[in-house]
Amino acid sequence: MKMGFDKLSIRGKLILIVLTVTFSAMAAGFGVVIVHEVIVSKKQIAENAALIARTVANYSVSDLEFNDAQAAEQTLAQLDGVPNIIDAFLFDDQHTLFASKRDTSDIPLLDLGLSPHSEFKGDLLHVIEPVHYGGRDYGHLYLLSSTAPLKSSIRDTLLTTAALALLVGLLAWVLAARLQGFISGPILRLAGIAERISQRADYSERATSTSDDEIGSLCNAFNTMLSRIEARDTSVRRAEAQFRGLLETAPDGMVIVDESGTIRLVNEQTERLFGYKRDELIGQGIEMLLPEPLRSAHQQQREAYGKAPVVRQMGENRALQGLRKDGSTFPVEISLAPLQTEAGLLISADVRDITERRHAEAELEQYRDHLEELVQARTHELESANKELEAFSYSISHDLRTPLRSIDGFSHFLLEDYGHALDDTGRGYLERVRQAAQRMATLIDDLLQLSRVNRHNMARTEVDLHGLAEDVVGELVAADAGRDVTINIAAPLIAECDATLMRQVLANLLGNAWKFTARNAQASIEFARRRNGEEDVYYVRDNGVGFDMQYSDKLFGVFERLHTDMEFSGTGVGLATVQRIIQRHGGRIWAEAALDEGATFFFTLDADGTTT
Amino acid sequence: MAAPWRRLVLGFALAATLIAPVFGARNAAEIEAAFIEKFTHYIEWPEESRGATPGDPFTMCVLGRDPIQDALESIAEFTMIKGRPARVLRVFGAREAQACDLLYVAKTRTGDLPRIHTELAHRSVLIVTHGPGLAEQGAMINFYDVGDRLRFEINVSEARESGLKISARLLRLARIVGKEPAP
Repeated sequence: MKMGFDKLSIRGKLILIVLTVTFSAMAAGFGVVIVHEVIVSKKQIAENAALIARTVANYSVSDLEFNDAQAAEQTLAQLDGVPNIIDAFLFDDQHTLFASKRDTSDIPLLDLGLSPHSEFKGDLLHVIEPVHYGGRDYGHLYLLSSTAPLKSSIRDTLLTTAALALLVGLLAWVLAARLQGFISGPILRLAGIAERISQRADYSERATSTSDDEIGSLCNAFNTMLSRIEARDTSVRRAEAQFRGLLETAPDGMVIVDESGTIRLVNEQTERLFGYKRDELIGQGIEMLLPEPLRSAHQQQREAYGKAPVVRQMGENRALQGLRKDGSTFPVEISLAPLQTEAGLLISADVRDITERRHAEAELEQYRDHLEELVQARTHELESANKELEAFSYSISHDLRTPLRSIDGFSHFLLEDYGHALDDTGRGYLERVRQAAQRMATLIDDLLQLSRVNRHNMARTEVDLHGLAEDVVGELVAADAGRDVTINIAAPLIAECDATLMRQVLANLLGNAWKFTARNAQASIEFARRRNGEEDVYYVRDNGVGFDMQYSDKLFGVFERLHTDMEFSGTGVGLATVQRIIQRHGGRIWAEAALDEGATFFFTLDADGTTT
Repeated sequence: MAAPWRRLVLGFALAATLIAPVFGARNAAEIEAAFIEKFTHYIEWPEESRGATPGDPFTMCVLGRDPIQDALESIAEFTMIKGRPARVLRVFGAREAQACDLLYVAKTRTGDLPRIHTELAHRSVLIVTHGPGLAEQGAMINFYDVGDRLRFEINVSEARESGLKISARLLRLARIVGKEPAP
């Protein structure tokens, strides 16, 4: 029954409810009416019988008085015409039967007693009426009345009721069938819309709310929900389109397979890579894209991957091959990423054609293998060239010195012996010849020194740079005693280095400092060491003329000079020599300066800075 | 005050008298007397007819010699009639009967009925007889015998004229004589 009710449509339920209520109310009402009817009917029957009994009793008074049984029987016989009276018996004051309506020995009365009485018993109404007159009791009348009218009245009422119930039920059915539309109509429309939407997935549909009641608010809520779903649907579509766009524009082939290895999605790049059309791939096993020998192994690996999916490269350190539609193979690199979805595990594979890279790698490998030979050859070339250069510069310097000495010597002799024969101009010319010759000698010395640096055998010992610097400064002061220079040399400065070469370094750097502070009234020169991270950095700082940092790259080149001879004397070989020495010690040298604000030259002595 | 034994005797006598008309073996006079006493239950005498006060006795007269006189006397002795003490008088002529409430005409004097009728016209005297056709001659209640049962007939027009009201209960048991004039 409950199942049946559940299966009914709302329309059916509403009608059923209305009919149930109507019939229940009607049944209750009719029940009351019938009970009332029975009570009233009984009362009526009793009253009627009582009236008849009283009348007959009145009539029977004189019959009993004059002991006239015949008259009494006549009186009782009158009751034959009275409806429903079945039997009547008249008893005298001795409770003896005096007369009866018909001849009968069957007197069903004595158990009732003879007190005045009216009682429904069985199908009959029993009435005992005293015969009473003028203060005297003459006897009793016993009347038996049928209750047929009661039954017929009940039957009539039932029939009427049933007819009425039928009529009301029919009316209720018609009204319910019509009025339920007010409630079920909007719900059915709503249900219809919901069904259409679920079939077509068209979320632009809207329910029209026609009432302000709960159904109306249901419609509104439904519409709000639809709007949200529509918005979400749109964003999902957009996201999907974006995803597809990303997928399509990916530079690599993207293949998405499900757990069973069936291809679910590919992008355009995949089509291009493998030469298949999209339709030829989707729904097929992924193994179709692999050369035959790799297939069974791949299948096993794929199943293992499905159990522990992680993002990883596929076939690392192994040569993976892809199989094109035309049967050719090509090297691929594949990245795998698991994607847990409601439909199960999806695996996205990023397939990259690495043919080009393989070529490049092969080429690179070739280069790598030949690089050492190349370097050796070059080094050899360089070394021989260097040696030639050194030999050349040594011999040149050496060979140049002899004629130079002759020029200087004979110029000297000329001045001393024949100077008086020349005028001042002539003597001036000769002086300039001598100066040039001497400068050239210095230059040659410097060059020789530079070349000697290269040929010098390094002998590293613990050297006190402080002492070395003091010696150099002492010589400088001796040569140019008139200057007031504040010299600050840190002590002690023990370094592991070649003392001869190091002396040249300090002589050059301190000499430069001395030279370029010559115009300062308050010159100051500092030589010290400081720790800079892992290495010890030595520096020589002065407050001289400095230089423009844009020329710093020219500082250490041979014959490069930042100042003219007119300003400061020099050959342009000193710093080149210094750099050479520092390099031979495995160190570096660099400078910081600003024009007219002094210069600082820094150097280190060991690549790993392990000086003590 | 009467002695207890006497009251007991009287009680028995009374009981015997009351029961006798219905049940006991009795002579005809006693039955008739009992009937007459019962008749008075169902008949109303007009109040103004005698100017009587409630204390006046109910007077039953007997014209002619008849054993009913004894029977009536024995009733009158113990019975109130119409709420009054009762007495029985022997009368000798019609005129004498004018003061009676009830007049029983003995069989021997039924020949006087026409005169009695005339004398007692418009007097409320219940005239009772026993004999065939007497009701038609002016008696209001006339006894007759059917087998061994005593029956009576009532002349309703006579009764009406005399101002007596006879109850329908009584009329039911009687043979009706005389036409009831349309009112």
